[in-house]
Amino acid sequence: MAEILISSRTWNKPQFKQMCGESLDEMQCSGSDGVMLPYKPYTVGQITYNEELILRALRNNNCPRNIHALSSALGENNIVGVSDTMIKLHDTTSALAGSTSTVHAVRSDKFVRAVQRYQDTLLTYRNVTQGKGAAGATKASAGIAVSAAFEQMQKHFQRELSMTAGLQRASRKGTPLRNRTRALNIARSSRSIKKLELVSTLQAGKLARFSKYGKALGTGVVAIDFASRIGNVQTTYKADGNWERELFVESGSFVASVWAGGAAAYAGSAALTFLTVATPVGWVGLIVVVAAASMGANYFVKEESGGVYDSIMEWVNTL
Amino acid sequence: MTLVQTILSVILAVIFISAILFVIFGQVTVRKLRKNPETKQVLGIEFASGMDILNAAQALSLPKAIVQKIRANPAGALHADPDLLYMHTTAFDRLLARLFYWSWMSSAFALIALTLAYFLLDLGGN
Repeated sequence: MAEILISSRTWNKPQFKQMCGESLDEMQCSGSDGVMLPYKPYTVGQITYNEELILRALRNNNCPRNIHALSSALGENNIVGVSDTMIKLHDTTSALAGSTSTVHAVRSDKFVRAVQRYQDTLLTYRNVTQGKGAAGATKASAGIAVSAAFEQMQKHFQRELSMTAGLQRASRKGTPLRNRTRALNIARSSRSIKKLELVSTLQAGKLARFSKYGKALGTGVVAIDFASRIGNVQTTYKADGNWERELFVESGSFVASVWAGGAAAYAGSAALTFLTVATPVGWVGLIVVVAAASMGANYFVKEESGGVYDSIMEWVNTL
Repeated sequence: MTLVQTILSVILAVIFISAILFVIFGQVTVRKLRKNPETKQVLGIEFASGMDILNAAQALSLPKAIVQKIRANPAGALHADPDLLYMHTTAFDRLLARLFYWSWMSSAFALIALTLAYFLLDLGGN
């Protein structure tokens, strides 16, 4: 486990000691001494190889700034869980696009946008309480906007919310996705230093992907999917990982989900014509089967094709 | 390499070949049918770009009696018209259609079967 710290302002040695009770010399981030710079990921203590990989995955572009803002709105513990679910949702929508049943894709796309709107209102609320909001915005009006976005999300997406919240670390007070008061409290009291606990590079990669695409959703299901898959490859590349392998896995699983979903849809719709089940219920059943086929294939190929790549490379090396 | 990965690599290879056949069939046969005023209206529904290639392949590959019955169904307009397609394709076009269609279906259903086995028999552990 690596503890990652991201700050929104500059700290010098005495300030930091007073704030955190630890010496700034303990902090690790390549290229800076004596001060803690804003929007740079730091770790505590001697840096391990794993931590170095995690830091690299987080370091590119605006990533730390976005992560800092998002964890201010949703809470440090939740942001890891939320990013995990969101990335899973992205992969799922692609699998569904492969099956040409856009109904489900549109729904999860809308869910992502509802969560996004909720996040945005929370961020606005946070800015207003800190006196940094837009002219004319009051605390009350920002609070009302948060409530409206929350109600909207609760009303339309019960099932998805329980799925998402289930993956987050359980807290007695509930998660911001289920509990508006808790979200408002987190937004109001958020400190300028954020502490994230990341177990693996994979998690860091997901977080980086989430922060990058978090603001640019809703342009088209497959386009997002491609962007996020390519983002995965790029994150691995930046982290000095085996990006060729990642490319093989991502493109392979995409093709597999489209392939399997398409075949199930064609064979299924031909079969429906002959059976007595060509009713709306039969068609819905087909959509479910098709979606399951392509999602299953996506997941399965993602899990196993890495090993296939490794043995192809081994074989090439023996030539 | 585990047994699952060995089978998967064979399936992925067939998918790869089938994807190449898809492009060849689309460029050689379906492009011709799209330009032909008699057939361009009967290629079936195109939910996504390129779906008419799949429709045409299915109409030329399944037994003629079956595709005619599918086409006669109330929802038949979603599928391509086999009679007109047979009239405007050569034996080579049909061979290409069948090669593509059956490599697609066999690899996809092999993949689905393997996926099912993977989840039901819990093969992920080894």
